[in-house]
Amino acid sequence: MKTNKIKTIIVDDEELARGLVREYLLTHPEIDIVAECANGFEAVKAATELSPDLMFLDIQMPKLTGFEVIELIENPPAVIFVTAFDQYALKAFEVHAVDYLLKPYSKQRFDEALSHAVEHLDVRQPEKTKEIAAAAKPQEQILERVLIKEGSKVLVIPVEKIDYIEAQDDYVSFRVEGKSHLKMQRLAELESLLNNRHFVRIHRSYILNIERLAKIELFAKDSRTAILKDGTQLPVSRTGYDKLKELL
Amino acid sequence: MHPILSDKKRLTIYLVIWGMVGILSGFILASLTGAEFLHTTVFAFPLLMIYSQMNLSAWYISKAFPLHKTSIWRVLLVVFVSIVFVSAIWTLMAWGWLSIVEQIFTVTLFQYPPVQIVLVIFGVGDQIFIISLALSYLLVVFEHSRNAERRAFELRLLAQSAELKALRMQIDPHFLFNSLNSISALTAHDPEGARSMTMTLADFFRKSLMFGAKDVITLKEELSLLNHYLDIEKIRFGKRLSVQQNIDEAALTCFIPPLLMQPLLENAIKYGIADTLEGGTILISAQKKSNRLFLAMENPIDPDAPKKKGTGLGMDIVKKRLQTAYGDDGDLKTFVNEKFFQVILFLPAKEKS
Repeated sequence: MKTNKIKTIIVDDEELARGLVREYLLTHPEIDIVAECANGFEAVKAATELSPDLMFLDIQMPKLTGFEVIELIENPPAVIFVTAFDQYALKAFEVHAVDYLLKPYSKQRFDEALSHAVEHLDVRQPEKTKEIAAAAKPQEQILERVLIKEGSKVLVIPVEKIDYIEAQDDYVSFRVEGKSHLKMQRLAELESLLNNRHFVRIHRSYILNIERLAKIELFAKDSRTAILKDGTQLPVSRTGYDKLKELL
Repeated sequence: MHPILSDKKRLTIYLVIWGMVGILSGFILASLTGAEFLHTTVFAFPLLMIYSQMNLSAWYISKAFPLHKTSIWRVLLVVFVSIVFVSAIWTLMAWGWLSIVEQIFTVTLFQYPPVQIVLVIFGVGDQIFIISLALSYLLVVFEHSRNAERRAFELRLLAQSAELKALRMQIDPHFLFNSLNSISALTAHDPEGARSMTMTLADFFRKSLMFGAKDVITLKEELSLLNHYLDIEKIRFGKRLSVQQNIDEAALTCFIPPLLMQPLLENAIKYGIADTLEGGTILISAQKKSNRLFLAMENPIDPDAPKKKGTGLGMDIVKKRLQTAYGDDGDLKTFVNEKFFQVILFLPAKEKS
């Protein structure tokens, strides 16, 4: 019997808000609360380790928003988003017919959202959940930090700490304070998200934080090398050199 | 639109004045040259009426080459060319009309050499046109400065209504909805707590409406509002939020614009508590030194949070309000390091409202 229960995680940074979800769930014996998380880091960890079926996810939380939590979970469960006020996200939820709760919500509204989510548990599509989260996320004009998951741990890297980014097959490798961090992403996508006055695609495989650049040396016709302040050498293509020249 | 042609009344007055000048000219010419008044008037009147129409063009010239947009040399050139051109046409017409009038009455009107007559007509013509141009340029300059004044006034109005709007929107909707959710959560297991939070929320909104309608309130009143806000947020954030207040007794009776510190506290809680895992202590301080008042709000920050460029809209509004109220005597400054964010308001300590 116990295996048929729906494994559920409650994520909210406010104790009282978690308490309310817990209270409303009392009348639903089919739900098994396997974890309560007070922030996004805990949520990613719990979701990775416990692989729940359902998640109540607050959107505004410290460090990681609910959307970023979804972005970081490889195989996200069914999600009921919870938010106080977020016009942008609400529009996306309406468009994609996502289950969401607006604080403060009634027991009736809660039960409706829950039963809808439970009915669709079998047909849930993790990829679609990610798409929706990406659509509902406030569109940052310029990327300010990079989220990387290593095991069940989450790293938040402010972009100004990045030295350079290297493309490696399906992954990109971020070089930060002497360490490399891998993330599944395309370099072209990153390039379009980063502030192009600080980060320059100097080569097919490299994006450079120009703050780190010490000098550029010519070593063959149309072929240059960027030497960073820490001595690292990176290849610079012709178009990359043109972009650098324009910036400096 | 031409200021004279576009208005029938003005055009009538203009033509009447010119008509009078025409008759007067006939009289002067008759008495100066000894010719008959009828003859000189028949000569002068129609010429001046035509010239009155030609002088209306002065306004178009001053409008097309305004002083504030055109270089002075270009204006002088345009003025010179137009004077010569208009006067020359007028002189030609006058010369032709003179011979016609002389033929009709079979007299020689003026007993002077033709060159002298032409020069006199030209001289009178260009002087009249110079006066027209000067008046037109004066009118354009006057209109320009009046427009500038009106624009400045409109801008002031706009700024004021923008300020009012900003003031009304200052309280974050998240705060209200999250508080209501907390009350909803308390209802089942802590009804007493739910009731007291409802009261605090009501007090906070009542006070912010009441104070917001005033021009100034005392610092004591502002702090009481902040304390209501903090009481609510303490229920929401629990252990994550702690507060330390360092208030100079002498500062409490000073008057400040209402809800000046409220957005700063909202900011401090957002960045210092809501956006950090462990929360921390918010430090509120007020100091009075001679006739100056210093109000400060300090909060811990997440060292990994991206550095925000600028001070943000809320801060900009507070700064603007200080400058509107006190001019150069009011200012807002922010200080930030790895761990703390601090904003200080500088304003005159006013004991009377």
